[in-house]
Amino acid sequence: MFILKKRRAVFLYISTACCTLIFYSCVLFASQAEDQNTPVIRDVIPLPQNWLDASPVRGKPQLTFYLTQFLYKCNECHIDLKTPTYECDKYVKMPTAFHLPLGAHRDMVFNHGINMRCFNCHNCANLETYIDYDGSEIPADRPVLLCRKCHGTTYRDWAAGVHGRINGYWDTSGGAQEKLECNQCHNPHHPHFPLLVPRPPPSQARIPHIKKGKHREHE
Amino acid sequence: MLRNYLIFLWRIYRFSFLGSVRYYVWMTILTIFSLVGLYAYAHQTVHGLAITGMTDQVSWGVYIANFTFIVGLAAAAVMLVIPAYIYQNKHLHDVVILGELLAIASIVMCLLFVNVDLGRPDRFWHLSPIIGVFNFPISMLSWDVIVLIGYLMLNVHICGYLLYMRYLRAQPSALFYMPFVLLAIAWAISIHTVTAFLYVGLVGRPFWNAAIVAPRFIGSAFTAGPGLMIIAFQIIRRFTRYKIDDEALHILRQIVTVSLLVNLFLLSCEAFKEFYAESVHSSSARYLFFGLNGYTALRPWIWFAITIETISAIILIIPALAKQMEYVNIACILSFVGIWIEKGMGMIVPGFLPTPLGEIVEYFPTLPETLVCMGIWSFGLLIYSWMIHLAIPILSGELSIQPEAVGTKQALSGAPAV
Amino acid sequence: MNGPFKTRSINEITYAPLTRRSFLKFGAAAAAAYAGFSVALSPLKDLKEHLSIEEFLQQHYERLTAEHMQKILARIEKEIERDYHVRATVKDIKPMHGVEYAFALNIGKCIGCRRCVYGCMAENNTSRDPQIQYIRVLEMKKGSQNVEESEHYYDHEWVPQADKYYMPVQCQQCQNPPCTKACPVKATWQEPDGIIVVDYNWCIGCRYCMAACPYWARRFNFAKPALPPEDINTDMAYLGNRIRPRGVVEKCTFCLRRVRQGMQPACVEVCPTGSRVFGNVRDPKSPIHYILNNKRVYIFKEEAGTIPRFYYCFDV
Repeated sequence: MFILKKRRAVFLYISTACCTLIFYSCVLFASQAEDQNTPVIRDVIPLPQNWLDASPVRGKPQLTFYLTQFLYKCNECHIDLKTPTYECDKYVKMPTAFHLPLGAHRDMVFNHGINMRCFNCHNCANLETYIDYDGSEIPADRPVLLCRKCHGTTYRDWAAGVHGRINGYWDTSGGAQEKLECNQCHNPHHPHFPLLVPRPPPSQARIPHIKKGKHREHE
Repeated sequence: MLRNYLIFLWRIYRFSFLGSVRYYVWMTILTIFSLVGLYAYAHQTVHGLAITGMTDQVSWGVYIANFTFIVGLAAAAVMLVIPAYIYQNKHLHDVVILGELLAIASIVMCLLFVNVDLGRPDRFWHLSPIIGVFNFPISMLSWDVIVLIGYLMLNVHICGYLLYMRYLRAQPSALFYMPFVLLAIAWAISIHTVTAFLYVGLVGRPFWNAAIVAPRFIGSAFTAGPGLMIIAFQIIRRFTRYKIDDEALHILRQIVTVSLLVNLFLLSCEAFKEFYAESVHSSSARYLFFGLNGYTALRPWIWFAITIETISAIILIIPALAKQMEYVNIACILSFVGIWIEKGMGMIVPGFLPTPLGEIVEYFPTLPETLVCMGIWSFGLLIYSWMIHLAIPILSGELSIQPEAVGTKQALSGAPAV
Repeated sequence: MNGPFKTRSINEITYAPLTRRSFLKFGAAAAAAYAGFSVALSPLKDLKEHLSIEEFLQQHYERLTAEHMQKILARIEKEIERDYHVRATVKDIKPMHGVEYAFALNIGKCIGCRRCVYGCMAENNTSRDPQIQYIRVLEMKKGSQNVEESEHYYDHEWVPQADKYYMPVQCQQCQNPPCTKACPVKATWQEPDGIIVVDYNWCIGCRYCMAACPYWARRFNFAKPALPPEDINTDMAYLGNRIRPRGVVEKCTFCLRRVRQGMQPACVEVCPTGSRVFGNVRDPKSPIHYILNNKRVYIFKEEAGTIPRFYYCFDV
């Protein structure tokens, strides 16, 4: 009888260990798979109708959240500390969609290089703002003050007017210049500049017809 | 004296419309072709240069190609002048004026080709020095305007003076023509060199931006021009009673031979430079000779041209063949056509392709463009035929001043009679 | 023997008086010639181009007085209204003092979207048919600067494509321009602020400047420009974006109308990536100055010796 009990226990221990191993290896595989094969996600921006359209590719800077086509402000869900977020004071690896709580932020794609912690940028204490090195707030409409924390060279270029464009007047005495904020072009979670639909190629109307077989490189 | 001159002009005018049936038929045909060309040009005036095959990529086409070629023909007239006047070759004296009349007709054709190529020919006066703005000496085109008009005036003066003196049965005064003749010798070389410099001076076109272009131009001009003159003089000999020595034709033949060999040599120099160590700058030459990226429109033309020029050269250097006028004529026609292709399609169009941005857009002249070219060539032939028709009787003495007729009413009356 | 004339010598014939027969013959020939000539010129009845005496006699831009210029501008506005059915204002905008323009284009950032090409068309009233575009974007293979391997007519679903980089080319407003040397009538010249302009009422359309340009920057109006009235930018400048007549050369003017009033050129305004930077190179605080001092800058076809004012740069 004793031997039987022992064997059952051993069997139970081994099976638990195996299950755990399988479970964690799945997790590991899943997370690693996502780490290795995370594609560089870039949005494709469609063509504006007006040829002189000077609007930035992402519109106005804002801290908003889309869920099923509705636009939410942060404090609509995160009303107070009761609505759960991850522990602010702990260092947490960037959650993959797998880890996120069901529903919120689940469909977001994260591809910001090694900046994989939400609260490197977001202010845990006030989700409507960003956070600076010393914990002070950065207003939502000045993301450049946030991005320059890490992207110093780019910030210097932006300040000189050579990163991102300047609309309006080259001659400041003539009129106002408009500079863009960072997230008017870059999606902070996958900031690589989006793909654009190009405008049509030059007309070949007056060019003698290209013979078949000598087709120009087209994709 | 002025009165004699005016009578001379009047008689010339009347005599222009008098001739044999052959003359009438020939001039009528040329007139019809010229009018067809004029019709096509009227279309171009209405619709703009869009009806030609020119594009932003190849912005000069057959008009400028023909212009370039014909400037060479004009320059070649000097090839008669040098032996006649400098080397005192008697055989050539007869034909010098005929050659210079060819120069006049050629310059007229050149000016016409430039005019039909302009986008705004109504603004021609912008080129004048005081009322317009003449960008001399910086623009090579301004040099070209000066040398072409100057050459035209030189030849009109020389021919007009010599013919008028012959008409008056007077001895021409050397003072009134020798300095101009000597000037014309230098000037003839310069018209074609300046035309070459139009192309050589363009740093953005590596096919043209080479020192060999100007010598190639001269070499090819002195092949095509005397070649044309050999044929033309035989035609004149056949259809008029004007005596032209075979010796004159053989001197011209020797000029053609030497120039053709020089031309082929320079062509091979060019080919070596382009293809021995091929760089990006050689793409135009590769496009011309071998095709590039599947574009081969010019390849058959240039190889055809080289082939017939080589055949022509072979004919001319074999003494047994070169002595026979039939073979010489074939050689002249072959080299004339070959050089027209080589200078026109083989020089102008490849200079533009690939474009400075690497694009190849092949050029094909359209029907209106071709008709305008044909019209201008016919008009040039018309002018030359007309001038020959006038010059031969004057040179032979048949049309000369009649002292007893001066002062009578008859001299000033009505229309030509038959 | 009298050559082609059997009975009389040429001398006699050319002195002979008029007879009825000769008059009729001459008349018939003259009538035939006149008929042939009118048939040849018959297409001219369709000529729609108006050429007023004032336009024909108009002098070179640099010789015009201010009042004369006002009259010319008024005439041009009338012509535009007649031909394109829009009311435009054409101004003669003089260069700013002490200003010299330069342009930088970051080819690390350009993605080849061609918005600059079409923004330029909208601002500069270039012909839509036949289409004229001042800017040509080249899709280049990475690892090579050989423009002959480039593709001009790429038409992808999205840009940038992975193995390519993009290089837009337009008039470089060279400091040592081959085009202004070529023009036989000085219809194109360099203004004090660096922009190379064309006087569209002086250009004779010989296209020598187009042959001279090492950057293929100039375009010719082979036909009268066709623009729909709703696409016309009615703020025009005489040396810049006014609608050109047929048969003249045009090119990028750094949006002369805009920049001489202190504004950014159209291509800079619409570039989504901010690859284009424009400014006064004499101002040490300008962005163009910053680029020339801090970025890796090179010149396209530098070996041509044209010393462009257009710089290609990439970030460190």
